[in-house]
Amino acid sequence: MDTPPKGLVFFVPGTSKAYRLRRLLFLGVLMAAAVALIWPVYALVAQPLPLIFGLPMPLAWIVAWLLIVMGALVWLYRSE
Amino acid sequence: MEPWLVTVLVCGAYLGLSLGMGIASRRTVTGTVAGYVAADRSMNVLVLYFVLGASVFSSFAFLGGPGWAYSRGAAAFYILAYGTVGMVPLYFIGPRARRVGARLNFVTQAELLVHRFANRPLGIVLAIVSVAACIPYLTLQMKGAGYILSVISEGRIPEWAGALVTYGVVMTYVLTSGVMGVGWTNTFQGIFMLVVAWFMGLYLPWKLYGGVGAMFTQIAASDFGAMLTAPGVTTSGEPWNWWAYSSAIIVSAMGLSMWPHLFMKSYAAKSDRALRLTVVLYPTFQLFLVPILLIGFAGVIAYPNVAPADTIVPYILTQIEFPALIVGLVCAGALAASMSTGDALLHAAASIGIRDGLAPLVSHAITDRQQRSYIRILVVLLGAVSYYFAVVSDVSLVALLLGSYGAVAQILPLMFAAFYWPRATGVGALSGLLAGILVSVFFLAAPELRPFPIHEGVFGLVANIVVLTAVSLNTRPEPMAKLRLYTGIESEVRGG
Repeated sequence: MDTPPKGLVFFVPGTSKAYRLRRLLFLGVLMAAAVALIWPVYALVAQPLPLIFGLPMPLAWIVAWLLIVMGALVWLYRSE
Repeated sequence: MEPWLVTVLVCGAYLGLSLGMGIASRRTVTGTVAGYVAADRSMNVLVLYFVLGASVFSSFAFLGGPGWAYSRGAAAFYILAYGTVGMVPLYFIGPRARRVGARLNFVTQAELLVHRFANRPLGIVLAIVSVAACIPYLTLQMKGAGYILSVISEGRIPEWAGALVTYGVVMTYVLTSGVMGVGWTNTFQGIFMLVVAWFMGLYLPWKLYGGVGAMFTQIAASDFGAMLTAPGVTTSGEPWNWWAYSSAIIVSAMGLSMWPHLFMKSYAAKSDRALRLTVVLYPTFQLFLVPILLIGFAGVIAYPNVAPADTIVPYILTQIEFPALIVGLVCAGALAASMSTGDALLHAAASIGIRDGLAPLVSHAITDRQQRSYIRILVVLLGAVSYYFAVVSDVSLVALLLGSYGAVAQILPLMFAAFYWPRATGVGALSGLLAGILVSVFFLAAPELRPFPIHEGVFGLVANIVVLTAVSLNTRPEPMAKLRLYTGIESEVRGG
């Protein structure tokens, strides 16, 4: 092929289905985290009470997503 | 011995250790540009982890972060939120950049984009953005260091002398050891910052309120309770609006991994796995913002009306009768935060200035040896200019710093297109970047003209992506042989 494709190329030809699926799943978690940290989802946990593990709810929410993203990164890294 | 003297001696010992470690690390790399700027592509996970973590968290983390929590409440959660996703692009883009960099001997971010898009002006624009972003950022680090030493010496060390000594140490190890000096000192400084932050963040709420939960319960029940409701309040005490908060998160998250002094560490990694593992582990460093914020919240009820809010940490230190040794260690932790960002900025900006700014403009080839000399000269010049703005000039660089955040985020669409969109062209990339920067700077300068009350960087990103796409589709693409190098990464063809 001498002309580049018009669209985005995330995987080179020959990449296994399992590899593609894992990366797409991770991307889903990442997008969910990004959406969870901004309006309107973050607004659902805007009130400080009840405290979660001693932290105001919005702070605990962000820490939880930080841990979820880290867990997903660990899973992806170990699977690759 | 006078308590202030003990504190100053502890900080002096810390500075001495940093200097010794920075100079000693010179022996671990060759005397080439690749050694000076990219550590001979040999950094392991330990050093990369601390370089990345300690470079991200500047003196803002120890002074500004608690100040935000103290004065703006839940608004401070923003600095934790954008880092949650902000470093992840490096997991995917970093190893690709590392491999192309190793093959073509790149050491800066712009070299990669200039080659991929066959567009030299792109490198010059990126060099200007990088150096323009570095100076105000570095100036703030110097101001922070001078301020800390002045406070702990009870004014006996003037701010100009504190900044001079601290950055004299930084300059010495950056000049002698380059990125390895940055790497090993950041490891030491990063450990120091983490220990100090977790100790103070857990101790202060316990000492003043009986625990973290008790502290927040009391704040929630007090007149300050409203500040804990997201997204917090602005500096004037008004509720921060959701548009501004959400758009600031988007721009900061998109810009985080594109800061040149952070991205360039991709080239320093010894392997793809080392770089990926560093990104995987990065959230453990990011978590240290939690105790940093707790330090600021600890002052809300116990010490109301401290102004400016950025002085809350030194204020608390002077109010609670800590042993002078502990005060010294906390201040050394704050110095570590300033230096570990300042050194990476200084080193990266000087390397970029010469490799991307100067080299393309001179007609003859510059030898490796000359490049190293020029980079060192620029390290001194940038240090001197930043020092001038930190202690001599009254000119505020805040607008330049704010503008640079919007400008740095504009690099991400180009970097993404470089690796994932073969159809992206050099004219498209340059016009997209320029459109993004110009729109972003325009709306920063004229906020009243923004169609929506959102971060100016978002307008810039929209303009950038639209122009990059439209112009690329109407200009000639790069040859497929080159594009395969960027988009057809052989080792990513995996079986399982």
